[in-house]
Amino acid sequence: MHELSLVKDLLELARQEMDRAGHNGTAESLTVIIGKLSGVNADSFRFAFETYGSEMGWTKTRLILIEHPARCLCQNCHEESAVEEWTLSCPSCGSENIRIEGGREFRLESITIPD
Amino acid sequence: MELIIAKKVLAANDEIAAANQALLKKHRAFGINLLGSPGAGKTSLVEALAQKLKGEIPLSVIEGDLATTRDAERVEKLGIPVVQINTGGACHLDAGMVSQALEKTALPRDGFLIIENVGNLVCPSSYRLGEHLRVVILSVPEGDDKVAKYPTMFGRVDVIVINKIDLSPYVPFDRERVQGDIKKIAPDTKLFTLSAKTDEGMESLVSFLKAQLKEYLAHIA
Repeated sequence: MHELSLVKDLLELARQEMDRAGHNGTAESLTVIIGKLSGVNADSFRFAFETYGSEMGWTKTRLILIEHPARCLCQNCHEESAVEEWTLSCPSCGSENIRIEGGREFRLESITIPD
Repeated sequence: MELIIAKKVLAANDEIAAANQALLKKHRAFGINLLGSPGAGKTSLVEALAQKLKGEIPLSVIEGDLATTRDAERVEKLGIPVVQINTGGACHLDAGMVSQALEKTALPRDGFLIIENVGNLVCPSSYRLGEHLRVVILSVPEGDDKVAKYPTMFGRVDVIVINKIDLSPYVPFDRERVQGDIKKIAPDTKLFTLSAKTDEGMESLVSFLKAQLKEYLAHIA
């Protein structure tokens, strides 16, 4: 459970990027991409944002979370499946001869500020 | 108006981590981030490595703990330079904490800096510290299901060490099951099986680390 410190990192990054763009007000929304295998729990992250974020004055900012799945590449049936969690076998044929790729991303994609 | 950012949330941490790594490179030190559950044997492995490398390869240690200086005291007894970070409750080390500790650390020229992370199989996996190698310890009594249960940690390391194999006769631990899970979750990871206490299997880890150090030094020369 380190989502609280991740929210702190997010808000620092967002502040820095808005300052860079010459905007010193608040943001309307922050769009964050969370990979399903990034180790960040979206619900906890939202909860931490709502509590810590409002304490830090981000009450009016909406948090938009987009969760990205990972890909399971099967060496047996050569099927590529989207997976929502770590899996030990191919969802298609059940083979354990698989490789998991992607799903580790955790980034601030965009910030919406008032025009 | 929409500002497109597309930056890692941990970009600030990663920048400090890169600076830490540059500092280590300047001092020709090879950084190891040592991870694992509380009680997996992280400090015991540091002690065992210190014995093995004594008189041959210099070693410094940064100890990360929520509280106490007990681990640092254990390492200090061996005559190894050690700096303790107390995270004050935080569940992981971040690059900023390590950066501060590095100011007080005697960096081992042509040697290893081991950063012993907070005992935890979840949070520390997200934070790069500036290390060159990530090593996670899994001890036999923790059980053979841990790789599958903590894939975010085991899937993000370079080396997995199975420790306390001297306890294999007393606790159920299916090594093949662990190897099978590693093959799926972390196929490119090196695996070592050893007991830091009895020394069994230590030699092959030590040779591997020495080879990594040699390659690193050749690369920066």
